[in-house]
Amino acid sequence: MLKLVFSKIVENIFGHNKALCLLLCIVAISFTDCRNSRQRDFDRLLVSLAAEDGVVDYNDWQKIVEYISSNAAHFSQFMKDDEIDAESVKQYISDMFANRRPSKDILFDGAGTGKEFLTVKLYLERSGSMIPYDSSKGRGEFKNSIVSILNSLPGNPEDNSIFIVNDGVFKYPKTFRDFITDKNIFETTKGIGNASYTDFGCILDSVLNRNGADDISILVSDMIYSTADVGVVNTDKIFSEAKSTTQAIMKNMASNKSILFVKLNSSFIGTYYPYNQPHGVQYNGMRPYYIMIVGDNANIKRLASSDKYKRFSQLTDLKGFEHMTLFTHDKCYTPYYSVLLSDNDMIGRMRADHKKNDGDAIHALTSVTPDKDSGVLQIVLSVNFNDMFVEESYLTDINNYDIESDDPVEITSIKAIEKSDITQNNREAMEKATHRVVLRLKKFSHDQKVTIRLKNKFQQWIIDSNSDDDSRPDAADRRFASTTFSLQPLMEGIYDSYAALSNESLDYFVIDLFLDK
Amino acid sequence: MIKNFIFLALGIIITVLYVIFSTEIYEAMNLDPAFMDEMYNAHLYSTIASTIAVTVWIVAAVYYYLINSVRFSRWYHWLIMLLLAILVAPSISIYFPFSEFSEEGKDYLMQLLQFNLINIGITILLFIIVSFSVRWWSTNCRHTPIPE
Repeated sequence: MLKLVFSKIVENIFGHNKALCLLLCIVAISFTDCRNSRQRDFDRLLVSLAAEDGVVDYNDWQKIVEYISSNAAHFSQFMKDDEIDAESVKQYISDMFANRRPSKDILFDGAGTGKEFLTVKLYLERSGSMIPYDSSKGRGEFKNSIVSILNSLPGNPEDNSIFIVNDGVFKYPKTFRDFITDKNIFETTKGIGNASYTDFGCILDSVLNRNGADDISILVSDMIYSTADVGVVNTDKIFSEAKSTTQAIMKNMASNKSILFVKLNSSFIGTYYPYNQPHGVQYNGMRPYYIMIVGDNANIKRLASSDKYKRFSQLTDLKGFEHMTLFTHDKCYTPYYSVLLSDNDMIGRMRADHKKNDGDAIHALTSVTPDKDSGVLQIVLSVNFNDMFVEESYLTDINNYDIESDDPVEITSIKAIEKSDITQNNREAMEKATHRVVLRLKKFSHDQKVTIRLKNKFQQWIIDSNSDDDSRPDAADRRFASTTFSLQPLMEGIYDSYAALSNESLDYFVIDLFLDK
Repeated sequence: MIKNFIFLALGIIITVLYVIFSTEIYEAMNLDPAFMDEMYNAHLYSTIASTIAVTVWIVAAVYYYLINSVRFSRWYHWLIMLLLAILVAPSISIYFPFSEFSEEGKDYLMQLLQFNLINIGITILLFIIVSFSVRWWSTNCRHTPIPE
């Protein structure tokens, strides 16, 4: 019988000259398999490099480039003019990990740039009103903070550069190291530019437009807008000009660039120049100044999440730190979050829907049943708020969140996780998170999605730090010590540029929960 | 005649749908979640579905058109070919994940055996469907396994 089968097959194959077809099929299958094996090996390499930490750093990138270069014929999709197209490789890696389980956002930390670290360009405003911050009679907070920032930067300090800004942008005449050890920054830079006028248009244009893909620009300034025409004493005109200046510069940059804006306080001993008193008045006390950190969206995200920039990103540790806010169009953060199935604040019953959940984190619930007596459903989430340039007070203020679902829902509390909150049953989810968020639905009528957004609002502290009149430093309300003339319109110009990019609200992050009966 | 083409079209459609929705089909089987994640990450569902589909169609084509013999046209001859498909398709389909996981030092042997039982079931079902799709144009086996 078998003989018959084989003879029939052989007869059919050779008898009808199909050997060539068979051979071609085998060659085609082998070729496909060979190509797939390179692809599989490449995917395995990526998994070994980034699955654990979610980071592709400079060294990982070198290995990726080496693999692609030695198998260039199999990865034509990554080649452009015989060179590796870093963006398409990054896109491939991002897509691959986004479609894996559990999905992961990949951080490119010095990958695809040819440089391990970001190049920092420091812009120090040297106007008349800045000099008293570094007075020899002061407490030195100003210099201390700048040096702390510069010292916390990884890499070779001489790769970075320093500029002095006032009516123009001028290169600092000495080295980066000299700047750090400089006893009197403003004395050394005396005579550079015109200290009586700050051309914000020119400065912001430099900070934003000369900010390359691998750069971070840092502007240290008192953010007091001054007009070129010293005769202008109409505050409305000044404010309107301030707003339109920042708006005009930000117009084309808002979609790509993020701005981290930090308020600090320092002692100030010397002459202050109010908008209507060009000869200045003496002031001895505290004054706010600001640090504006500008970079591509990905670079600003990198600053917060990369281990190499951990020290740099600890801005709250700077001497005199008061507030910070991040201006960005991007929904730049994707925090870890998971529903806790065992918590004292939980009301009602629910189970994790394993088919819909991604990895260990629980985002989808099934068999959701509200409390029998009250009809209330209360869900507790553990959320990781680490690695964000958002202040703790902002993160824990429930008024900064938008929450949507079919049935009425509200956030009742957001609190930092304490040791006593961690139990054997919730340990895994709690240890990956920093905060507990409690959601309350007064009723739960049908299957629905709950969406929680942390809004990126124009922050109240900027409004509180604004002054319409800086002509009386000695006023009894002492607001002069904590406010800046024309700050609000200047920053509104920036914020509005981001807001104008989208009809939707500006958010820092969005998280979704899926509730099924 | 039209009926025969409808059967052929149905066979092709069912096979294509199986390959396209292989992930959803296998994940509906409620296997170990960690194993399912590994299979998903390595894109093995579609590879295995394609392998089974191609094997089943080749075995059926070999039986109905290459062998195509009166002396090999009884229902138990068809069963021998089905057993051949069961032997080949799930064996190949277990090979891919096994080699993938072995290289990564992961042990999913029990899960793979479970998975293989599912593949045996799918192979049987698909072979029956494909047999009814292609048998009509066989000169000697068109009545196998069930006479027209």
